[in-house]
Amino acid sequence: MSIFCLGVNHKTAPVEIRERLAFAESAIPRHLDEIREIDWVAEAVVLSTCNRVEIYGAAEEPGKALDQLIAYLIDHFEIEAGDVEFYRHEADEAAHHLFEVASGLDSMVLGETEIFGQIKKAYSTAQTNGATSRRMNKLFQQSFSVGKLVRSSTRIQQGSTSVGSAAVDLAEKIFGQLDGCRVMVIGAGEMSRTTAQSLKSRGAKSIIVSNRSYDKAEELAAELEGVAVKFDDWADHLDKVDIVVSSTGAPHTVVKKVDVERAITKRRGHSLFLIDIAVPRDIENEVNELENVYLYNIDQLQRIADAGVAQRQQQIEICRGVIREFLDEKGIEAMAKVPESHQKKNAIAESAGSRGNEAVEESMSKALILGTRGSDLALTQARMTEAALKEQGIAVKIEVVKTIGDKRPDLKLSEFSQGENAVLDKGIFTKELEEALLRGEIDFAVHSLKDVPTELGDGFEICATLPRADIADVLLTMDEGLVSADGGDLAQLEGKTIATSSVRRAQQLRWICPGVKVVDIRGNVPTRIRKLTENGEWDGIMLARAGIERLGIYTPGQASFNFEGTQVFAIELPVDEFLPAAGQGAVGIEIRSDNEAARAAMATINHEPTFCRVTAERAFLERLKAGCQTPVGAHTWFEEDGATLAMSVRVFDEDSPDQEPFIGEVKGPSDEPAALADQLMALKG
Amino acid sequence: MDKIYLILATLVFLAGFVIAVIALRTGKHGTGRLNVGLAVVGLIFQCLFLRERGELHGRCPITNGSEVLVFISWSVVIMYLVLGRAFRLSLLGVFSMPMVFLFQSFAIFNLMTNDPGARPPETLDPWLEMHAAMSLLAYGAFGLAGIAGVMDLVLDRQLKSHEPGQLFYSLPPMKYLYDAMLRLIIIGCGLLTIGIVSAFFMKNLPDALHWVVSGAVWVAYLAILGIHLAKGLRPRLLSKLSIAAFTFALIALSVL
Repeated sequence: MSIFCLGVNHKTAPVEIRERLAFAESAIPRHLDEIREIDWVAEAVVLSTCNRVEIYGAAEEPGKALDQLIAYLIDHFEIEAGDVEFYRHEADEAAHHLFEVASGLDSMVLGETEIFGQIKKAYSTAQTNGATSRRMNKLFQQSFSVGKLVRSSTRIQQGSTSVGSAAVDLAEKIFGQLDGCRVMVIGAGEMSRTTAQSLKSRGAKSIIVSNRSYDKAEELAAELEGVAVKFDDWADHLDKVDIVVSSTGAPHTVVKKVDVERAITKRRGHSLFLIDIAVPRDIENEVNELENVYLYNIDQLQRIADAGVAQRQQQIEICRGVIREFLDEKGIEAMAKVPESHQKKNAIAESAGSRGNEAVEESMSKALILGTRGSDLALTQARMTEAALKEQGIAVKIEVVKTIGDKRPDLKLSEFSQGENAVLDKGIFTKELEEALLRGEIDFAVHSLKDVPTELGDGFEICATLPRADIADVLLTMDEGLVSADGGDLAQLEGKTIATSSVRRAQQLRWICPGVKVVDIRGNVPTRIRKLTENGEWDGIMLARAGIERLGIYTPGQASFNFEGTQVFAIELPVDEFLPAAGQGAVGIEIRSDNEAARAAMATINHEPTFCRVTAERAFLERLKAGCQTPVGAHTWFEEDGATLAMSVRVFDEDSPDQEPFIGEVKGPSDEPAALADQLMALKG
Repeated sequence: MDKIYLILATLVFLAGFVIAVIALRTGKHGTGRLNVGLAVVGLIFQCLFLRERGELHGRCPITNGSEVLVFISWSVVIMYLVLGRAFRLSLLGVFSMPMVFLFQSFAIFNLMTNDPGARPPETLDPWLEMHAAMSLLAYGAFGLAGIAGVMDLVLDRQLKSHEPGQLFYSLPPMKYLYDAMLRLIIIGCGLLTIGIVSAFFMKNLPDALHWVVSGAVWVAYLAILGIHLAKGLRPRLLSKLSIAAFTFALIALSVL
């Protein structure tokens, strides 16, 4: 009789698979009975959480039992055998896996403690239903001991891993327990709500909400069980609170040093913690100079969270050492298995070939520095890249770099190429990142590929892409009639005002619906949506679906979504009718051409089909000598044979907007994506 | 044998400090119990030293500067073990150990090079013993308050810099340090008051300098408490005052 473990987790299966495999809590007793009816299976425990579905058991012949268990799961959950790949462990490997899970080493948020309670509950359910006996009882009791030991003797729980937790941890470092702490929220946006909820969950009370729109302040106050105050009156309450969370959309500072000085005088020496999560910042930086006042902005909180994640990563081996010591001491066979991270390193090194071996080893030995812009979307994409690399055992540190595009939100994108700003023609969102690459301050830069100029500077290259998101454009509107009239028919926009920053979208809109009025818009994605909801002058705005999807604002297929308490309707535009930008939906990774270590590391996460498609699209732009702000739509796709790549383009004349665009479509072998661009140029003449 | 006990106590405190620093730097936790254990062992050696010296003199062993330093160190360790743990300020031990090590090293050096030997009293005066013991116990509380002040300033600096280091996560919250400082100063003031009042009953009253210096220390700490009660002392100012007042108290003691 030996123990085994079968499962999927957040690393091995996407949420679509995990949610299908999830066991309903009420059905677990029945499943435990059914699992134990499988030949050879004597004991069983089902652990089903958001991030993992695992079955632990004991069987005479674990190999055969696991095969039958897989068949049972596939049959019961009606999934295709090829859709899911289970990991399976036997004997010591299974014990070691459970111990790592109980210690939080296998969790999405490394070192988190929730999993410990979930394992206890899973074991308790199995025990109550008579599904465990000597082996499972011993295994799970030991896992609880190991989980506690790892947490008490290492720093796996130490440090913050998100902006919200960093803010809360800092607050606790200043005030101790937050019971009785009073909080003021300025700006009733999503970030404010999330941070205030985190503080409330740790005991903060008396939450005051202030917002330009008083209705929204009241709404959020009701949700947080606090009180709303008029925006003009927030300063009067500053001396009565301990923590201030500010996240307004104001283009100027809201909280000034003089306001805080006045408040701190009245507070008789009590500390004040200010959390500024707005961009542009709401609180004057000089406030941090005041005694007993601590000001943190979004970048500073993010840096703490990044450091926390990196520190927990560094603790993994220490934790594994604790587990090994425990197993040795308790008389269970020592782990003969090579740790997974070592296996992964070897596999990556092999896959990189002899040229890359040393480079990969180099990249494995130290954290690579990822450069990114600081917008929510850019940071989300940076974290996606970080997660992909970490999965390959490569440590990453995120460094935020402000680009000229971020520094000049007052300029329209098209204005960057005009007049005295002409120097900023291309790469308004990439120039400073390339400078940081050149200075060696970062090892690689993560971009929204559609923002990256097709002609990179000498010595730079796009070496990898993440799997591409949906490439469609989305029209967002507050006007329900616009949606219900006729789905995505853009002809109905006659006489409407649509805001977009993209000349491609503007030209296509005017071409499809000549009566539409197009106006320019700037700001990051949430800011733009906020402008739509707060500005009654526009009928809609256009955005890339990938952006709002990655930020978690919009779920594909939804007709509408709730944004800061306001219903926004979404119309997805078919890509063959409204062509996307070259590289839209793709996250590209730029490196210095001579950085072999970074190149080898990025090769481990490159998504080849995406790379092939964007290579064709960007090659076409390059042949056209077009920049990011040239009105060109490009759409690529693989034909059914998987080896043929097709590309459709729509090119507008920048100087003659009324002229009919060039429209072309070609196909060719996917191993020569750039050749499609040449074919199209030949057609265009 | 007394000096051997003192050397052993000093080495034990040094070991505790080194282990704590290594644990802080490497991230290996779980050394808290070991540190408390070492503090207790060190305390036992301190007690043995003080008993030997007490028997040698036939009275409370605070007859010279070295013994006074050891007695203050003993007070600090007692305060840490009793109050530091009650306030959940385990790191106070780590910060206390360097001071204890320094005081005792100085005492060892002095006793090794120039031990004044036995100084039995002409007549034993219990009020004198009470005065000296209570005053030095008060110094233990004041010393620990000063150390809490240092910890608070370190934490403040790390928070202001926006770059928390390894130590940051091990330091207790500012609120706890603030509360601990106030309580330690209150306890210290109480003990010092008992010490000063005891002096009035001594057979031979202290000289004027003794009264002035002791009174100045007493007034300094009472002033801190008074300002706090009247206006509410800002945390950073309280930390700075705790450190400054203890430095002043040490200088005052050296004058005596």
